Amino acid sequence: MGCRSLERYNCLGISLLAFGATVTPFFYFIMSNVPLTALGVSIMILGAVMALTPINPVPKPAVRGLLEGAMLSLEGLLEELDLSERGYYVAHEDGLVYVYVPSSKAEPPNVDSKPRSLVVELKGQPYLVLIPPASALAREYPSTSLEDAVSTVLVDLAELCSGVRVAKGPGYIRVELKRPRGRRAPSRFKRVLGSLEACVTACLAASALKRPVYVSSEVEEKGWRRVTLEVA
Amino acid sequence: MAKRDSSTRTIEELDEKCKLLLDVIDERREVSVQDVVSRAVRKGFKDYEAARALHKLKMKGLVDLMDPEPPRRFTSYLTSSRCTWFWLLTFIVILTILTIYVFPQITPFIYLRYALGSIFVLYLPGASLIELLYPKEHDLSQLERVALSIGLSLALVPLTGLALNYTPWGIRLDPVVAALSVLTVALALGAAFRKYLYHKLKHGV
Amino acid sequence: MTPDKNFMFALVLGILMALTTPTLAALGEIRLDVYVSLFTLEYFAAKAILRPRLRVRDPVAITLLFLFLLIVALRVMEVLGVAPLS
Repeated sequence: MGCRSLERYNCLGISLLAFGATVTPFFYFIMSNVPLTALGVSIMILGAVMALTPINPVPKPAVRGLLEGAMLSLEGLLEELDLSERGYYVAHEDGLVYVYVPSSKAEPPNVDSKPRSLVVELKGQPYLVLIPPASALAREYPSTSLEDAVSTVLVDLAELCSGVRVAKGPGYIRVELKRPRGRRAPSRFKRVLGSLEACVTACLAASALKRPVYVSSEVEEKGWRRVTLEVA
Repeated sequence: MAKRDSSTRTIEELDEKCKLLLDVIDERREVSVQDVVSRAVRKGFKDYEAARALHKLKMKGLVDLMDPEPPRRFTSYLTSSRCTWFWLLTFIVILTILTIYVFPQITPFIYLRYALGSIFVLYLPGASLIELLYPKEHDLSQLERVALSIGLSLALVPLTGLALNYTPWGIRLDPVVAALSVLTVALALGAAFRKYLYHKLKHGV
Repeated sequence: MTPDKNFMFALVLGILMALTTPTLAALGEIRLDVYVSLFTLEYFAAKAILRPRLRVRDPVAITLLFLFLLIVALRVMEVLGVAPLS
């Protein structure tokens, strides 16, 4: 396993670990110097931590750019079809989350199987089926805790905000996003799918709960954005 | 207030009493707990049976209990029943201090001192730190909380002793009791505040 | 731009250990177990607060915890007069 297959940061970590492992016995047994031995041990610990740290192959601004690009693309489609009703986020067995956008005000769709076309009709109501920007991320980053999953995607991966807090209530989930910094969502996208941060959160919630979810409201206050998701 | 959760979870494993109580709570309607219990009593339940069945349904996630008037400020949250754990912890700390300095050092008070002293050193500091780090109920199971509390106490107490070693007061009874009391209550207060922030978010206050 | 929490973890841990080692050395501490115990506590404290992600299950935490328990056991045995700790 050469350094080409690992990032330089991890290589540095392995080097520090090896250096620490070499000097520590020397300081302890040969020089009988405890503080220097402790220094060697601390270098080993630091090296091990650096070697075990996963490095993001895609930089955060790039992840953010990809999500925002997908958002603009969906805005165009929604504008063309003149849709403005709230979409319902539904996770299917393939792990992806789909958004069912009704043409007029409708109840959450009761869907058993993956959609086979762009437009589906359920109980006489047509729905446009979209794959939201974070759908694939919901499949890649499953977690037992919704707060952990949202924090991993929004904070660590895409840096769309600097902190996340999630609280569940009866039939709803409230998410507080600290200092959201995504690009302002186009109006139609925001009306149908919510802001980009809300869209990502709703995808992860639908994937975690295996129940339809929709963005019910978003409130901005003092550097925080509070997103309320209703669970159908 | 009780509200039935409209999930499709199976209810076959519930006992008869729980199934009966579930029927009492109408789908998607909010009813007061008092209403549910009085309706259950009319159907032949004893009140404690109804309360127990309601608790089981809550644990299974089939109903949710909501406070119609949740506390809005931290001070009112701290004095509400949600912070009973905080006051219980503070009470045990105060009682431990009393057994050391006030109660006579004779049987049976000496055994009380041993018991409370063990809890004070081996459990409380870690428990308050665990509550601070994992404020939400579902973050950890009860068993994990107890185990981690003991483990973290074993880490925190020697660290406190180490810090006291380099102070003018040294490692004696009075400084150790004072340091551990302040540490435990301060961590517990921090934990209460973190829980309050999640409470505020959940209830939208 | 907020720094990645994995880098923050390594940075914070490095700073803590860099402060601890010379401080204890200046205080004349010659017991290696004191240094290792403090490194262990700093590691777990930084991990609990920053919650970094690692490639695999944490072997560093397991090793440090094992060493910490060993140190505690030997100290207890020393206090009980069973085994001296140099």
